[in-house]
Amino acid sequence: MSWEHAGKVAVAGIGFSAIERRTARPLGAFALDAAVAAVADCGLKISDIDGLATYPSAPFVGAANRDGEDVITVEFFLTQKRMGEIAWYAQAGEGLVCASVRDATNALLAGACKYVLVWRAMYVPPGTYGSAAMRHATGDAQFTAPYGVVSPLQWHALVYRRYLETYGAKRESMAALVLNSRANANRNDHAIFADKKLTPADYASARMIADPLCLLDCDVPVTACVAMVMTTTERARDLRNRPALVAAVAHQTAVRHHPIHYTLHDHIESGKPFADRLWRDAGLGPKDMSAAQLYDGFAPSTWYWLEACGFCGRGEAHAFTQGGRIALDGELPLNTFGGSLSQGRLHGMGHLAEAVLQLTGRAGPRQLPDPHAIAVLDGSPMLRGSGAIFTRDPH
Amino acid sequence: MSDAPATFARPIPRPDAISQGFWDATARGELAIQRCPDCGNYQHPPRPICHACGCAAPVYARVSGEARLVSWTTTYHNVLPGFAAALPYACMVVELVEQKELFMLSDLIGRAEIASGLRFGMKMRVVFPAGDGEGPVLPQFAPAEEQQA
Ligand SMILES: [Zn+2]
Repeated sequence: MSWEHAGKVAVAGIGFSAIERRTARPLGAFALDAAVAAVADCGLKISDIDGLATYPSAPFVGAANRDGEDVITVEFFLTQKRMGEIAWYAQAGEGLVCASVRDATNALLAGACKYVLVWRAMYVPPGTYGSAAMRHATGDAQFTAPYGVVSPLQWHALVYRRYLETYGAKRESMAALVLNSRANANRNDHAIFADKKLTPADYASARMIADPLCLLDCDVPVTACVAMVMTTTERARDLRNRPALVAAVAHQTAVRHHPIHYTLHDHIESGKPFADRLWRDAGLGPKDMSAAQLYDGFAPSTWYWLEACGFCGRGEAHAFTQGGRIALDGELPLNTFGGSLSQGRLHGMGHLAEAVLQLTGRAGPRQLPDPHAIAVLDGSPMLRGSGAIFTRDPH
Repeated sequence: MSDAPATFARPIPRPDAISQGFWDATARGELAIQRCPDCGNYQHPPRPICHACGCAAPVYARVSGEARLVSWTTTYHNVLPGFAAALPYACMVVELVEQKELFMLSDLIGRAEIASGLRFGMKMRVVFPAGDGEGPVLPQFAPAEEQQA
């Protein structure tokens, strides 16, 4: 029995800012560019927006957390005088930006507002990314930071080594996924690596960051904002572009009891219940998907999502992703826009935007022939996971 | 890295009401983990409430210090300026023998010979290296065979 509200809410428009690395231009300017582009894509005015939803948190340690500088919270748009009257807003604390799709969907179904602006803005600070001095370790960090373990890349590396050992996988097998994403980014003007090719030799010689994770297994930090406008499907039919319909939306709710270190079990088992919920609500399964946009802040997360969602069996993702299966003309086109690895670190917003562009036939040189349903999974199956299934048509 | 000090400096654990028992034990050369007096559940890092039964008075209980190696990584990227001078450095996750998924961390700074011989599941045992005298005694783990030799 699928969700009674499947297909009633839609994404009506998408807007991209420029995508840069370190830049002197304030993040607020990127956010306004994206918002204005998103409403223009719908044929609306910015003052038509009456709902706001984002996942606002600064994605690196040591942020100033000043609106318009390194974060764009709801407050940023509330204080812009060109905005109209805002009836509803929400800021997600978990789930990355796909959780904001959930929030907006619920608000629109409840009739709390008419047009919701959903965005994610990301900023690259000066200096070494993700490195901040720490003199004292407090709280749970008493048991981690004194050992030099402070970064998600280290947690991911520890889990990834476990995956490789458990399933007899080789880290060299990740090259297929990373190179596929780069080839797709080379067909995407909204990618930081749009013009930068990647070869197998580049992957093989990439420097280690936290072994077995190499530099090319980590997404590339960017300064950018992507925004989209969500509304009811009924209203969306009167707007400029064809809408992409929300068939299901869910977030990870599994509980873990060992906060010092997450495990491979966490990643794969915790993703399954909510992936199953997505399939049930959408009335669709992995085999029905025209493509998948699976979060790749660290490349192994995409392997875990493939397994947690049932696109392949447990321990099979490293083999499943070989031989062109995930290419644009393959059985399961994957991260068709370049992923966070090659478009840039947009915390899932790029994945969402791509699902919409593909389903509405607006993906340009990387357009899939006849896509009708696309899964987006954001975050990792354990850490702040959230997801949505989008369809082209009601069903 | 412009933001990296030249000398190695670990963040110093700052004990609090919940963690004090852990650091009191390491000062005695003992490893103690929070344990529920009602249901016997161990938990780490410590919490005010037992995850297993909701008891509000977990206490510290001495454990054997024996563990198994779960995973490890060598960090090459400067994630913590105080550790820049130690790059690259290995750290590992161990599971204490007392309970499934009762994890602790250790690093292998100054013990690179251990990092090269790590194997999944190898027996580890807690050690209490002399620190620089600043802050609590930080427990570390080393291969159990090494300590017997
Ligand atoms: Zn208990």
